[in-house]
Amino acid sequence: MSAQSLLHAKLDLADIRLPRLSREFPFRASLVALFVLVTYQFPWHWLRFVTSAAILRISASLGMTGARVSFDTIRIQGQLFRVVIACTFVDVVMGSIPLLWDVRKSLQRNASRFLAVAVIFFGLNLVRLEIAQVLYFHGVPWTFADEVLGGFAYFAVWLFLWRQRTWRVLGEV
Amino acid sequence: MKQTPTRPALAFLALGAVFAVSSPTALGQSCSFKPLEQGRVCTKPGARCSPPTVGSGNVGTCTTEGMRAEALSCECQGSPTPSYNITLSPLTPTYIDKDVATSTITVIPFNGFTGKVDFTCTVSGAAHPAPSCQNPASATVTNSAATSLLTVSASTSTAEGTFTVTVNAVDGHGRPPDNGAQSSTGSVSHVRWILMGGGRIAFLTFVALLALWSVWLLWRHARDASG
Repeated sequence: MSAQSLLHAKLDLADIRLPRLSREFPFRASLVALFVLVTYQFPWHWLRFVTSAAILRISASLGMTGARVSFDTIRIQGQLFRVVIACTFVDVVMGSIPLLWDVRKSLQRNASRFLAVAVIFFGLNLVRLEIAQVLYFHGVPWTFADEVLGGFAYFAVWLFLWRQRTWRVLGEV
Repeated sequence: MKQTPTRPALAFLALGAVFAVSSPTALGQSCSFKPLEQGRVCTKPGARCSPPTVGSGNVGTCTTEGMRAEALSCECQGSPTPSYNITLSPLTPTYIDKDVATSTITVIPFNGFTGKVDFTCTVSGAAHPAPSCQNPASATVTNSAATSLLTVSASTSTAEGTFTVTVNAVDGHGRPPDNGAQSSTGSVSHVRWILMGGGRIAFLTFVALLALWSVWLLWRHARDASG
């Protein structure tokens, strides 16, 4: 169906029969909440340090002057940036475990898959943080540069998890 | 005529021989007597014990134990002097704008030290106007470590930069701590902080995108179901 015909397609809400959620999805979603909650119980000092160090280096390679202030704080172009837990994407990485887990595969295969995904996510996180910083120094308000972009990054992660899923959201109709 | 020494004279000679072969310090008042393996801590007779006697003003001396050259011991003369050390925890937060940073001063007593310890603080290494510190309240040591709070404050007019705050201490007899004055560093910055990473708006953006996507999925599902 072409885009034009899609736009003109008539949508009759009464005809839509909302299917039920599967049992598996709420269970996995609950585990996501639990994993994220547990993630925030740790300070993740080393990851905040590594993330800030990476941002510092990438910014330096883009010609921005920067220096480390503390383990989680960097100063770039005179502006202080503090890397908090949410900034490391560790909440996203840990929260993705229940959505990525394939019950038909072994622990080892699941673990190796998770490690690969974690590397991709951490890389994506660095890219979005650096883009936010560049946008900010080009006059874009921080709220838009960092937070709205962050929202899009979360959504990109969701789409990735959706494509990788081995579970069903909806039950049998 | 040949004279034979009498018993008291023989006893006197024997006592003299004992004195002659004994280390002079062995007869002093010992505050610690801890035999040590040769070459480990006590290197040779007459050398200083390593580590020195903690906390007391008397530094131990290595000495041979009796006449056995292989057995060295660490002895110190006189009774140990009660003394203390002070430690500073790192200033928290390390960066201040127009607020305060604090650090905990801990007084660690040695050799039964008790009494009041007074503190003074100075800020150095910063441009003027520099951040200020209030002299911390005195700490009273009874039988274990005592603490006091160091506060460094900055205002909007305080110059930006790194500073060092140094704490000096004296006890009731005017004696400083064994480990001397202690320092901690902090910084003043009036630049607004930015917290990186997703916040509430990022979450709302995600939820909005998720809602739009869900609607699109449902619409597609309905379209496919209707043929």
